[in-house]
Amino acid sequence: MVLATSGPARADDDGPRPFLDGRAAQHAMGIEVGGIAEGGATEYAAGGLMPRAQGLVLRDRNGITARYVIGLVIAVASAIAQSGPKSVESKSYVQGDYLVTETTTTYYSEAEKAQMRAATSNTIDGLFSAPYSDMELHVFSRDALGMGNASGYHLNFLCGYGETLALETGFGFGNVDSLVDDAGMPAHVRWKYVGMPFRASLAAGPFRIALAYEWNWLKYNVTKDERKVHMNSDGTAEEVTAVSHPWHLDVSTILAHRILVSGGVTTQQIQKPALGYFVSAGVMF
Amino acid sequence: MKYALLSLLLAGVAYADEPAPTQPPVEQPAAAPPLAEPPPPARPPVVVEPPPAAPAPPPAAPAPPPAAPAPPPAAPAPPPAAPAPPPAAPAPVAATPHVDSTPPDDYYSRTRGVGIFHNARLYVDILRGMAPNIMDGVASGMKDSTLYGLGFDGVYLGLPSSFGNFHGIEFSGGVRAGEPYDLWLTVGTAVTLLNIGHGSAGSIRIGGGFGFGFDLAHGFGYVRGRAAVVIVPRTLDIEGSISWSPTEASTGNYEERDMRVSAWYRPGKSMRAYELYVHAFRRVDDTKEDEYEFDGIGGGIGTTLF
Repeated sequence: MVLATSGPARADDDGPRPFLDGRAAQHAMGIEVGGIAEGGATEYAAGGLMPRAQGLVLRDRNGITARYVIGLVIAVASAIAQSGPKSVESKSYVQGDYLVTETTTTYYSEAEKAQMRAATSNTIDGLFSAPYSDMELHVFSRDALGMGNASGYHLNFLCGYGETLALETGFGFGNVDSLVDDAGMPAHVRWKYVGMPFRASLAAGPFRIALAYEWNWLKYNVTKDERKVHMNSDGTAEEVTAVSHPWHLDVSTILAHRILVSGGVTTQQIQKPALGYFVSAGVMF
Repeated sequence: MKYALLSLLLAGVAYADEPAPTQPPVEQPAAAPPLAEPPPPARPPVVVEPPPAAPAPPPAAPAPPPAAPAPPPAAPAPPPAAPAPPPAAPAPVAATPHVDSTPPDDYYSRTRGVGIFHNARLYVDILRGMAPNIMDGVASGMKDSTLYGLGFDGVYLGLPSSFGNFHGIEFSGGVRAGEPYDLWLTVGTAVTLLNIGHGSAGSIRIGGGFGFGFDLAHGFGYVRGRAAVVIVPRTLDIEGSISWSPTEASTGNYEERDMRVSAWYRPGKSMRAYELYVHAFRRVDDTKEDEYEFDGIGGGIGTTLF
């Protein structure tokens, strides 16, 4: 009965579709609003402290959001590059009683600027013609939107190409602060992320399978001491900073033509994997 | 069972959202074009005329039975009965009357995201409220403040999703004079969650948007909810909206909330409509009293663009 009555409008509708649909999860354009729960050794865990992260998920799959955000970043970066120097060379030498430093700054010619503008334009055109894009926002809350012990957000923008195998990349950022109990002592587990996600995905039967890697540039700025559980400066709580370039393997499907269900595992490293999990479900609009 | 009901509900939502002919009932009379060829251009008079014609056939129908005993006269009787059904064809037109009597136009489109019928708005407003009294950079209590604003909003829902909804892009910008003076610019993704009706009375659109922007106080991310309903077809619609920027999505420590209830009136047949609205705006700093804080209410007038 459900199969007979539920059927969203699809541009690529090619007849009756299964109750579970991996192709729709991979290729359909839509916005998902739903909930997410994570636990175990996810990217938000550190020092043996494993926060439970719960909250909302907002995803614009194959829509416009990731395209215009990445396009905007490229346009701004290109404009900065065009107005900046092409090269700066300095040489110093002694002349009599003086140390003379000569600095030669070369700027882009008008022709080169035009070439850069054309390249930027082509790149942005490519973004808008790419078959895949994804904006994925996770918002975690300890009190309002979730019942876990994490608060913050995790946001990725991706865009990509591919036929059977979709390859996507982009940029992302996030900030999650978890307050967990460590043998009776409150402990803050802090996680910050600015970097690039990479993802390979394909539709396999009724499911979509995706393997993602997040290259977190902020990992390099975290000292060894910060990676260990320690008392904070006022001695009221412990704190530790979670750092990793996490891997995510997830399986998703669209259930009953409208409900996107995902689940998977996370590990902070491949060599000695300790697994975390995540599950999410949302309605596609 | 619950699951089946949920699926049914969601399926209904999907169908409600699917692009559909603006006036499906109007298509039906086209099934009888030979007879209704003159009527289509002047549909309303036809709607009035058929009812008297429709009752005529029923009396004609009982006529044949008495005519049965008299075969010769009965023979002529069927001929009038035969032409009778064709006049009955327009009857369905009267049986499925339109809620609105005005002829369809292109005023309604699901790609328009401001209210029910509009693409963009230009408005002026006045806000009256409280703002911190800053003396030499130090806050000393609160003071009355009046802000005068000029702004522009645009929403284009031009991307049909695979699930029967319409999404797109939204933009907002403007300036406010007074204390605190301000200017803002936002861009985001506009979303339709539910769309019922095609512009007749009671048609509903529920949606919203999310995006980012900046003003003089901070850079921020926001989420927005919108709900709009048609009161008088193609003439009057109202919309309630709320935008929220949480502290966590602010480059400062501001929480911003903007609520609005608008009524749109279209006086003639052109695409232009005029707006009257009430408005509440609140921006507070979580950590201190700040020169950009404001909490007040007001109202304004606007007009559609495009």
